[in-house]
Amino acid sequence: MSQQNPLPPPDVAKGKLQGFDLTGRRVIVYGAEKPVAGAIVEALREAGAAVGVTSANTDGTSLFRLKKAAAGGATEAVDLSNGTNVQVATRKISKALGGVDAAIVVPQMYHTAPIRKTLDADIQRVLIANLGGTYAAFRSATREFRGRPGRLIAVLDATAVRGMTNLSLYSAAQSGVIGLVRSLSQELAPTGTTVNAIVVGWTDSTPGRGPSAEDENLLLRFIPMRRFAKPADPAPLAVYLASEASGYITGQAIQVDGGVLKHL
Amino acid sequence: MALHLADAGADIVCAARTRSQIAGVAEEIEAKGRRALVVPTDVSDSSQVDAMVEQTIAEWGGFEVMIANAGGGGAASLKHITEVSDDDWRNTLDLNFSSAFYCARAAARHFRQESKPGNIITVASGTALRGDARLFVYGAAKAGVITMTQALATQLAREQIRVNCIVPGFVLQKTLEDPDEIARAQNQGSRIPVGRVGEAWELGPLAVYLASDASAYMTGEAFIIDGGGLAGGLAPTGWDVNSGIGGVAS
Repeated sequence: MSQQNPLPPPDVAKGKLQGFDLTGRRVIVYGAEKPVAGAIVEALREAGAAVGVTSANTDGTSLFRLKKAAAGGATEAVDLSNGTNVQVATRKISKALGGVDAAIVVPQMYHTAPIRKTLDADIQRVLIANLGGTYAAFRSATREFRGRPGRLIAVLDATAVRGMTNLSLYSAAQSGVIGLVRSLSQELAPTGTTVNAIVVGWTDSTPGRGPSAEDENLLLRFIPMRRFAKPADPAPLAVYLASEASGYITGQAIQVDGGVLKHL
Repeated sequence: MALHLADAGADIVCAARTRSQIAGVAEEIEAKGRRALVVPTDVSDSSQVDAMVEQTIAEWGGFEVMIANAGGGGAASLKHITEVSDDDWRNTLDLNFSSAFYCARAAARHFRQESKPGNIITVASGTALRGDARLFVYGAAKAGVITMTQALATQLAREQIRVNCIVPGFVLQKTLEDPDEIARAQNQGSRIPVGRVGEAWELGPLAVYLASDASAYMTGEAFIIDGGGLAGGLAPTGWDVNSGIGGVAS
């Protein structure tokens, strides 16, 4: 046999810094009102991508922040809990961008309560907003890939891989996304589409992070790097995973965490 | 990895056991307008690693990133446990595990002496994370590399030294020309979810990401690049639970 790999890696344009140049790539960011997502949108644009954005929620604050992230580009108000809403918005943004090459979902519908005080409505709302919303966004984006190799990325927080008191519901929803990533990576691999998660540790905007001074904050001293993530910290990884050069990375939950998930 | 790092603007010290293994890469780096320093080094010998670092400091004044990439399965890894000699065991661990420790230690000493931030990147293997009957010595050595990476990340974070690990699955080390080798690679690729083995250049952008400030908040990470192999593994690749057929028998 003299033929090469049955599915060769992409012929990434020469002369570019492979993995960090997104010229000609079209990306949708769902949940763009979140601080981490806003930084990802900026980094994608800096790398040359055309970016369309949606919100994760349709409350006033979310829509105000969404407008800022959109920066005049393609934008749709979306409630990630509503699959039809996600589908229609994805179609519209895809039309505006001329197609979609990558989708990034930031499903951070936070919920904290002891289990005895968690209502049926909470279970529905939190599971659907985080896990169901990511599923719906991945489904809609995959339809827009139209058989071409795409990139699906979920941005999660560290409760997806570690347990914490009073976060059982949110943690279950977030960790469920990792199961989605693993299985969907297998399903879509033959098309060249990759599916990954970025797991972000404690950030400046994480609820309950405590004071910023190290000597006043036991949590801060628990993080090996002794600082919270800035919104921009996960952004370069999102750029790399959205690029054509990351085609051999799939099914992974990659941690940008200052080392907090690495120690005993 | 070296060529992508050079593309991104880095000067590269090329170390391998023999000069002939790295002379060509050094020429390519220089053709890109970057500096290359060839230092033949057996990284399983700590004194040679220390000498390589000393030569780098003497000629270039220092360095910011250490990539400990050495490794190899070796015949010892393919034996039944009852036939693995003490020397087989030690040699495989020296090449695959101790080498990473020697490189990390030499780099950490340099960063500490200069009181500057640093970056250490180790390289393990997917065999560190799943059992492989044929590669148990090699897998054990590479598992040590991952655990060492995590622990060193926590130890060195306060000194602003980051330590991360690249965990490749099946990745070709060179462009294949021999038809038998290509056939073997295709067969191997058919068992990997993305339907192909990785190509050497694909590790380059990942190395650039980890070596740069783009990954400033990442430490202790075992970054898997394996075409989806480790994300699956519950059934043969491609198995369809709807029909109960498909997949590739192993």
